[in-house]
Amino acid sequence: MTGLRDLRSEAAGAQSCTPHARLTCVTRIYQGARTTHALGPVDLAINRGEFFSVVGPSGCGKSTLLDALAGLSAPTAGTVEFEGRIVSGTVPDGIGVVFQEDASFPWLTVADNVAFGLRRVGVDAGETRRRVDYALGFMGLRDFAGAYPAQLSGGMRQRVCIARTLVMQPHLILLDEPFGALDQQTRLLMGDELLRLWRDTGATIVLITHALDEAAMLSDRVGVMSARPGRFIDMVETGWGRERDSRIVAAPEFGTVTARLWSSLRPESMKALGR
Amino acid sequence: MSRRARAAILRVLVVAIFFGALEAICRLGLVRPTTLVAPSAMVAELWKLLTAGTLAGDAARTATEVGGGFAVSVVLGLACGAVVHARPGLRAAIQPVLASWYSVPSFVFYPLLVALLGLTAAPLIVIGAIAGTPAMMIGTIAGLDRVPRVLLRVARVHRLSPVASFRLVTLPAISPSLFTGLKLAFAYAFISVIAGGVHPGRGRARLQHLLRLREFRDPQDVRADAVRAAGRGRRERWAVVVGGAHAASARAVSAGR
Repeated sequence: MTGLRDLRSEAAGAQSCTPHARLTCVTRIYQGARTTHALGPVDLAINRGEFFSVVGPSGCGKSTLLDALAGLSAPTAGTVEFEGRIVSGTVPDGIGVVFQEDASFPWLTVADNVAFGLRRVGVDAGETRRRVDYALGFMGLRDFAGAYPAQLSGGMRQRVCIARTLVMQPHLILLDEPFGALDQQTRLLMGDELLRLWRDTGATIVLITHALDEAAMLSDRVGVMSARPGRFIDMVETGWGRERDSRIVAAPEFGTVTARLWSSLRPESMKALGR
Repeated sequence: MSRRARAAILRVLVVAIFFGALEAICRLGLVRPTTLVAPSAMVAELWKLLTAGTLAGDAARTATEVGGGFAVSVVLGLACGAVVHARPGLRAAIQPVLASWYSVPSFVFYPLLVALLGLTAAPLIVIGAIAGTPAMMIGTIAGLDRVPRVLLRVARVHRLSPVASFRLVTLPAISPSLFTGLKLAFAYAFISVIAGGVHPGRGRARLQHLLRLREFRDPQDVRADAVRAAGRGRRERWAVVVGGAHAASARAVSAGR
């Protein structure tokens, strides 16, 4: 691998013991005309190099959890740690976030979108070009480097956003339903690309998703959240090897994992619907 | 050819056809030259005046007044637009005023402004600003409304300072609306300054009277005279203005604002 820092050996050595990120008694309460207890208390340890997914009913606080983990919002109570340091108020160096909505800058070309963060931190032009070229190649966007987001499909625009995160060489990548707006086939293929990215970079990935099959296919471990205020009610180890792809959906174990997720989630989804 | 290029060509074509038709109507004698001269004759005469230098002084003065009014509109409109966007209560209160703003011809304030600021470029610059600022404000508010929240979150992920976030994300995101605001602010400032410039020609004696009052009398009396001058002969227009404001307020109340 030439374009990105290789964290695989680091990941292999550290995966079993050191939590890469940790949430301790994290609670989020929104004050306003009506007080909303959105999240917690939540305790969670995410291992280095792990692919961890979070599933839960609508409005259970999944995105709130991700915001707290990224440092985009401070928890009302509890602490968030990333690589041993407390996260508070700002996004720490080493964390990349991909959002559900199209977050590409429409006034920049694909290449400029991808280079946005690198230029911001003052990476020299040659290194920027090298990293952008690698990320574009990795995400299959090299032919569209000079195109504007409006000229791309939804899936391609999301790949631009992933590439923009990727060039920053994050140790922890947070994905907030990144494939939510895509069709099922594109989602499966994007899942394959995400797994390839995860394997090649050795980064830790936290994926927030509504889709149980997506969580089951991609993850080492899936956390199931309760209805609001969200808490973890189940942790499901999938047991897949690192060299997996979307073809795993045909395996009998895949059905078992998905069924377990649904059996934990169904009562909570009913609660969220008020039944 | 791209869609944007085709649209640009089409726009130029529409204008060219319009002036071509006008030229043809004038040259064929369908309209008398005392009513309208052919556009080509206008351009030729303008060129003659420009090259002779006859217009230079007046053109420079008008450009200063229009430019001044436009510059104030842009700065004030941007700032006020950003403040109003950030405060929903203020926005609800100011919306009917903005909606009915252009029912008031800003040059009616010219006598009052002359009384306050003298017969200089300042009154016309203020008139330009009065006319252009709301357009810029509306453009700014519309632009800020359309900035996707997710882009601001991306800025936070990249740890941009508020200034960098504004420069690199907010400003480019609002630029289409801002550009529309700029165009309108310029058009309104230009029209108002020209209209304000025409006004003293008709009411020169009245303005001189106001200036004399300004020199020898109590400023309170001067303002009262200026307001009377502005109102004289325009009662019907004020009735329309008040009616428009009233209708806008009524719409706001019925919409629950």
